[in-house]
Formats: sequence, C-alpha cells, structure tokens
Amino acid sequence: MKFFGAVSKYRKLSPDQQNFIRQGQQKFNNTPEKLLEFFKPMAEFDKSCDEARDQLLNYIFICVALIFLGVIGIAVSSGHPLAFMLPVILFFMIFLIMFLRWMLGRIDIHNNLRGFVVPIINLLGQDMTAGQKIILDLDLRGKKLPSKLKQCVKDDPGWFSYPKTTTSTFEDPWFNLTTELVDGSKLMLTVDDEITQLDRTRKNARGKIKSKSKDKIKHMIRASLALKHKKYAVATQNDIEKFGSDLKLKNGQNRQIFGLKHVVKGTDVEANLDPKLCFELLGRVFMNVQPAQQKGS
Amino acid sequence: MENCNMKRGFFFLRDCDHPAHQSCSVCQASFCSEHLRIKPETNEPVCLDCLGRTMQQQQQQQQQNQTLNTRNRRNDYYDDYYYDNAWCYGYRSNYYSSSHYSPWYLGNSSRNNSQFNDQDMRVFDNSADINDPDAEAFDPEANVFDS
Repeated sequence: MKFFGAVSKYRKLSPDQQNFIRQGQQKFNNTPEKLLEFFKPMAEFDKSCDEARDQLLNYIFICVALIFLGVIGIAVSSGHPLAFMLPVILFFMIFLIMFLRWMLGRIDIHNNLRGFVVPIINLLGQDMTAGQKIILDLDLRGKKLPSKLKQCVKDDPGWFSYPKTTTSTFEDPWFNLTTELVDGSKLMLTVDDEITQLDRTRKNARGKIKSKSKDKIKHMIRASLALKHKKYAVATQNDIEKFGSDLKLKNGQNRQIFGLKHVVKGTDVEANLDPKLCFELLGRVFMNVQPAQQKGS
Repeated sequence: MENCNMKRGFFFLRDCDHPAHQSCSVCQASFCSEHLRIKPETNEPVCLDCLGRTMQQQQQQQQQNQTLNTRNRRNDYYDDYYYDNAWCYGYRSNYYSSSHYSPWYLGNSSRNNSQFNDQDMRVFDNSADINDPDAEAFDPEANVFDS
C-alpha cells in the first residue's frame, strides 16, 4: 500500500523540511546544491503522496462497487448474517480511507515544487559558479487563500432569484528567484499567478437549484537578465525584433537589462508550470545577444 | 592523465577540469566519476549526456504510448533519475535540438573533443573578462516591467 510508503518518506524528512511542508512559505539564500539537498526529498515525498492519494481514491471506488455487489448478495442469499456484515464493514472502510486521504492531503505540497522549482534550480545551478547563491522567495501555501483574494464581484438578483454569480480573483506571486550566472549576468525570474474562480448558482427547468464552480488560471512568467556591457554588445531598438516584440530594455551604466514575459492560461489550479517556458525566455535573450567585441564586425 | 570530456552548463558550456576516471560504454569518451553513472539495465558506465538522452527518448516514447502498463513501467524508470543531474543533461540535449539554441562556450576551444563542435557553440572573445568587478549592483526591485 503506497500510503505507508508516503508516510515513511514524510517521517524521514528533517524537522525543517516538515516545517516547510506545513508552512508552505519560506525565503532561501543558499547555493543550488544546498537548495536541491533541501527540496529533493520533499519532491520525492510529494510524488509518493500523490500516488498514495490516487490509490486511496481507487480503493474508495472499489469499496463502493463491492457495497453494491453486497446489496445484491443480501437479496440473493435471503438474509445470511455474513451478507449483511460485508456492506457495513465496507461502509466503515470508506470512511477510514477518506480520513487517511484527507490526512495525506494536509501534508501534500503543490506540484510546482517537484515539477517547476526543482528542475529550475537544477538547471540554473549548471550555469552558476561554485558557491554562488540563489535568493529564492517561495510561497506554496495555496492559490486560493483568503489573504490572496484581491477582488470579489457578486451578481445577486435577490432572494429566490437566479442565476447568482460570484467572481473571485486571487493573486499569487509564488516564485521569485534572483541569482548571478557564470558569465556575470544577473538574473531575476518571477512567476505570478492570477486565479479567477467563477461560482454560479442557477435554477434548472425542473426547479432544482444547481451550483457550479469553475477556475481559470493565468501564469505570468517574467525574466529579467542584466547583461554586462563589457561582455555583451549593447542591443539597440533595431535589435528588438530579433528578441520578440514583448522585450523591454533598460540601459544602465554597466549593464543592459532585458525583460521578457510570457503568459500561460490554464484551467487546472493544481497542475505544475512547465519549467521549459522559463528557459525559452532566457534562451531567446542568450541566443540573440552578441559578444561585445564582435558586434558590427 | 586525460581530463574529463564532459561539458558542464546549460546556456554556457565549460570544460570539466577533473581527471577522467572511466570510459562511457556508449560514446567511448573518458569522463570523471561525477559525470558517469552505472546504468541499471546493463551495469555498465554511461556518461550523463548519453544517459540523459536515453531518458529523454524514453520520456518521449512514454508520452506517445498511452497504454497504462507501458506508462507505469517507464515512469518508474524515468523517475529514478528525474532529480539527478542526468536529467539536466538529457534536457539540455533535447532543448538544443528542439529550440535550435547554440550555447556559449567559456573555455579553451582547442581542448574541445566533446560531442559539440565549433558550429554548435558560440565563443566569447578572450579579452572579455568574466570575472571583472562590477560597480553597478543588480537591484532586484528595479524590475524592467515596472518602468
């Protein structure tokens, strides 16, 4: 049973790791190696936890199916005591499994940790000098917390009048990473999520009240790269076309800052963001810049 | 003693300075122990580039094969390496080919006897000093998107 495997992995985590899973929010300032050492066991636990929760859900479906068969068995066996016992036991088992699943849900961390944060640190760490630190501000507490609610619009026509619609907008700036790469470039990577929850209550043709909730999520990925003038040629407005129309440039005394953003829309709030989107943004900059000495030659 | 033939990095490739320890059973090049793994199926040493590529190919096959049995079996194999450095090297190989990215090379090109040739990489002029001190510090609050 995968439940015990997940619990075992959770118990093996250090108190700091368990604390991070409970709190879901922390600011880090450490090397990629140390950060991965901290996150990897949690990522492995999260994978086990998700598998265990899926397995428990399957057990619930199996129990429901067996109860159905048990009820048929009662009718066929004409009142045998064992035939009555089986559905009752299964009924209690469903409650037990639901409780275990709820327990795992309380220590389940968002899939962005293993699907986004760990790969990003792993890959960026490849392009950093030894000992260079990453400043990481991570908030995986949840996307629809009351504290993250920015707007709530209610369309209520009054008592016993339908449809009633509530549109809630949450803002979740959950990822902020700053570091320096091996070429001396400074990198800032942020992800801000905007979640729109639409709750609609209506009356159908038969007069029954029906409620429906729908989520939409918008991930705003922003990458800023401050490249050294001594290392890279200064990009001009004519160069912008190569980088894409959404590029923002800012010139400093020693560096030129390239800013790119990418918006991804989805409907699954629990799904993790694809780290490749971030690398595509950074790749667009690094692919199109030229070395300081070679420009114009 | 020959040095490790692995190129470190993702956007920027550098030479590995560690002495070579063993040869990869796939590409036959010599690598240090940090860049070699023992492949479980064959029990032979494989470099991270070759192992990573195998992993990426298996993941792509996994996405193509939608049957439940195949998916479960390949998931288990893939996830053993998912958080390892081998994943980075496989991802790198896939990224270069899919997005046509040419990495910058920060090293001595005369020592280059890896899978990457001069056409694959872009090289900085040696006079551009990587480690020169910079008076202008990066201000995290100075986000270009705010301006």
